[in-house]
Amino acid sequence: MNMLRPLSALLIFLFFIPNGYGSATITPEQLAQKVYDRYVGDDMQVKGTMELISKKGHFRSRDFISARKDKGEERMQLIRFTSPADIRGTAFLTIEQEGSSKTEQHLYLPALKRTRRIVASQQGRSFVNSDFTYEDMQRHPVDDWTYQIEGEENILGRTCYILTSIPKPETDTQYSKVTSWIDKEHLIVLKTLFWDDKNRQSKNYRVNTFEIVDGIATETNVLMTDLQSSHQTRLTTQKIVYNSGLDDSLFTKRAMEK
Amino acid sequence: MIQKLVERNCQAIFKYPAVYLSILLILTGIASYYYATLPTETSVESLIIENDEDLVFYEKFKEQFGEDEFLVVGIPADDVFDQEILKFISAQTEKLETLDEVKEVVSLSNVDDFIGSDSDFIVQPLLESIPKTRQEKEHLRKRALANSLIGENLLNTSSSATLIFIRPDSRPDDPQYDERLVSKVEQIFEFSTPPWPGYEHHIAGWLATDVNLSRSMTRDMMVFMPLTYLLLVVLISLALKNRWAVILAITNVSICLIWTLALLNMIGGAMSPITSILPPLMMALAVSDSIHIFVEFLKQDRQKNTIYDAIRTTVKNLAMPCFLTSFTTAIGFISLAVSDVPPIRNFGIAAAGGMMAEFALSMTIIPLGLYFLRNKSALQQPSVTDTSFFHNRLSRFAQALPNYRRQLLWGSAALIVISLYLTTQIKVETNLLEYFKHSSPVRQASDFIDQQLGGVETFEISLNAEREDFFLLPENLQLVEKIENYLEKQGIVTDVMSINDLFREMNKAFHNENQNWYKLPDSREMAAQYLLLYDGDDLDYLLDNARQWTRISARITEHNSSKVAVYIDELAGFLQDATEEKKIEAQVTGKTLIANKLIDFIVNSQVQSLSLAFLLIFLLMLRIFKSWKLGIISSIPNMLPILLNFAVMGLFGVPLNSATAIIAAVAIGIAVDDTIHFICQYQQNRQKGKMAANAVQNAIVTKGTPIIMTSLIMTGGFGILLFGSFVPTIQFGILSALIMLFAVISDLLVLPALLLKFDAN
Repeated sequence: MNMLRPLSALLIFLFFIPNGYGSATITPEQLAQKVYDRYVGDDMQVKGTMELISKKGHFRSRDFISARKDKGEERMQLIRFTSPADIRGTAFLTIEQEGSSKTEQHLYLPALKRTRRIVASQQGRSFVNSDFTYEDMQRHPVDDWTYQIEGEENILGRTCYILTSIPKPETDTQYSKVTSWIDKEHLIVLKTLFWDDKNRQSKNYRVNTFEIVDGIATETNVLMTDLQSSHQTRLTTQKIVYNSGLDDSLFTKRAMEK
Repeated sequence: MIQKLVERNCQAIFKYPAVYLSILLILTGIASYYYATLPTETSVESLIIENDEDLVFYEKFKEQFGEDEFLVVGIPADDVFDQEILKFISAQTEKLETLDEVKEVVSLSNVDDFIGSDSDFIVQPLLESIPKTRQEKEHLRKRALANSLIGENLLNTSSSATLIFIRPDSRPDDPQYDERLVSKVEQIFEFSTPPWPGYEHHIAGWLATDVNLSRSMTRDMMVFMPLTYLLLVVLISLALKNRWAVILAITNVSICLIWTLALLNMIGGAMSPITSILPPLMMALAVSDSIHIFVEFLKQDRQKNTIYDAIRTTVKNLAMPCFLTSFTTAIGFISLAVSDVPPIRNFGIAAAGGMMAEFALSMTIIPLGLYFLRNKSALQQPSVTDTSFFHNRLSRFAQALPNYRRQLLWGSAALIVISLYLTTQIKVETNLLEYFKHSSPVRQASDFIDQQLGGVETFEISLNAEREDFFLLPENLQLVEKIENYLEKQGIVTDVMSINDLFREMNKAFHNENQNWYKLPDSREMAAQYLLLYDGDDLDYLLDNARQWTRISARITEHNSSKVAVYIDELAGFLQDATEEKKIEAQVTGKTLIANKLIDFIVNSQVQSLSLAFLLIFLLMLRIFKSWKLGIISSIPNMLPILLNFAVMGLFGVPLNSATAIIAAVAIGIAVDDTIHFICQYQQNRQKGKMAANAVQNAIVTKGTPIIMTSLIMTGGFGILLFGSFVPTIQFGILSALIMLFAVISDLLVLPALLLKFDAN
């Protein structure tokens, strides 16, 4: 059961920036660091849709708007569902301290007209019944994992590094192994396979389309598949705006309750 | 015709013994392969016809909401919140979670609790750290009992017992899966040093029942086989006093057994608690023919005739009687083929086929064996069996019988009336757990969970609406609540779980843990918003993605099928009334219902197969005796033992179950043999011009000994089943042995009395 942690990147998509074009050789750690450091704008606004697709093909669609702002060491993010009607206005506010596990999260339920601070201790929980977990929506601190480059492969017509990450023993994660396909040029992750704690392939993440918006590689249609349950979650972005100078007051409990 | 066939076969055996031997070896080789690959099947589902609509619905239900089969481990303790106990549960939970076969483990050590306050909503494991002080411990206890999702599921109110709940991954294509999972779980608990003095654990649940059923069956086979062989060797040695005869008879019996079980495999059957009765039964039946043949062979005079002639005369004399007895027994068996219960059907077909093969094999293997052993001196000498013991007593008995004719007939009539009444008292039992003795570990584990922790069996209720998001509307959640309330009032229900539990707990948590808010959300929006917070797994067990199909699960502590059936009927009626005005399909399902559904199948099977067996055997009697009067008279002493069997069941509360349902059809086919022998002899006597009284007396004296002997052999064969682990198998053994006894009595007492009364002129 559960609750929300950082939506530090509501959409996994929001990670990366190409800041080291094509250096001749790159170590796995360097690659991981570059992906982590990729510039994704100082702030961002998204209008998008989340579709939940069951094994039998049942469809449930939710629209949302989201805003994110980086302020010093702090990353603030607000997600608000706009449809269907029965969840309209439900909002999640997340404030994450970079490099720290301290994440604050607040939830507003319009039916109750109340805001609650949400405290939950497990990373592996699903976010709003989707196939994304809270962990999936955060960046992993580079030092918590060990890396290996397995080779290169073409995906969506792009040449990608295949990077395998294994958690260090003390790392708190739901995965035993993660393999990502990383676009060499834009350093954006185009595909990821996840293995669970019993070493079974558990999930499959794929980017179907991405665009360069204001110089930032931005995923516009992604699909996460839970391989055990065959349940899928598709995120599509209708509109995205970077660096529009969002005000801090947007990321407060008060703003959330509006 | 049969006689000619058997004779020609005998000639051919002497002419081409090597060919016969080769064919026999090849066929038996093939049969051995099928025998060796005979699968094992113990689940309740295997007892239900494949396309039964309730079973189909149940499969769909499971596909949506996951297995309702799970394992639970119950652990009693003085106080489950003591440090060492929590530590132990925590360690065991971690070990269980590493098993590949396990999908999810829920215990006190990892279950989530949510805590609400004015400002916060906290989701955290109930047990964040082991409580060190008394205060911490009491706080933990309070929290656990306050959350109905924990308090009603994982421990009892006095916190003197707790439960570890293990949900298996479903992998239906792996037959060893259940066994592997249960063994691994057992290892985790059995190979840990007892964490405190007096520690015990109880592993229960449908999975444990199935696995233990399969294990006990294997164990039973290991007991039945050697015991049956031992019994046969002793009986044959006593009857024949000839070691070559013993070896040949045992070879014959073994090959018959292999062929029968191979046939069971070929028709798609499997070894199940029901079909495990086959081996001792078939062996006992096969050995009767062998004994008859050897007795006949050994008494042939070999001074005048060659051993070939002796063999030929033997098979010629016995072809017809042996064929008839095998045939009538096969009729009894084949009548089970009309059963809707697959293992009973397979049992019937395999046993019927086996019986006919047994006839052919006995008429081939024994002559062939005798041919190869023709120079052994032990077979050169005729030997005479001493039957004077029975003979003298039977003569005296036959003399006295006519004086008691009236009393016998009135007595029989009274018995029939009493038996008919007692028959109506028979209950039907289909729960697999009831197969186990009360002293068996699996039964004790289940009793413990029933008494302390609310039971492991469930009624599952499926509510499927036409419209999406139906179960977000408050009035529909109230309908679910109405059903919950109804269930909670039932005496056998200990705990009801539904989507409403989540709603109520969330509502309370978002209202500062105020107990007044432990109620359903009052708007669709509130329900939808709570669900948005609630993550996947738990929810998926209770509500589908479209929010239009939900499940209510009620744990029960009753296993007795007849009692459960009453509750199911009432529940189904209540559901129909409650959902009448809604566009919603309400249905009771779950493994308990499926097991219970077997009741009708078993009763129908019993009635149908028994009627069929009676009809076929009656027709056969008419054909043999060519007399309506004798046909009708002969059917009464056959009906009587069956009726007495039902009377015993009614009187002593032996239920009709998948094993005892077979008895009647099996017994009638065997018991009728003696009747046929008796009436044939009587008819021959009458044709020779004897008066009815003399004809009856002669028939008693001549046929009395073989009738008693074969009945004793069958009684011994059935007696072996008393060493089984399953209650129904043991019941089958006792009852069948009793029927054999009743059959002797009615053939030697009632049948003569009837003949004297109705066939005197």
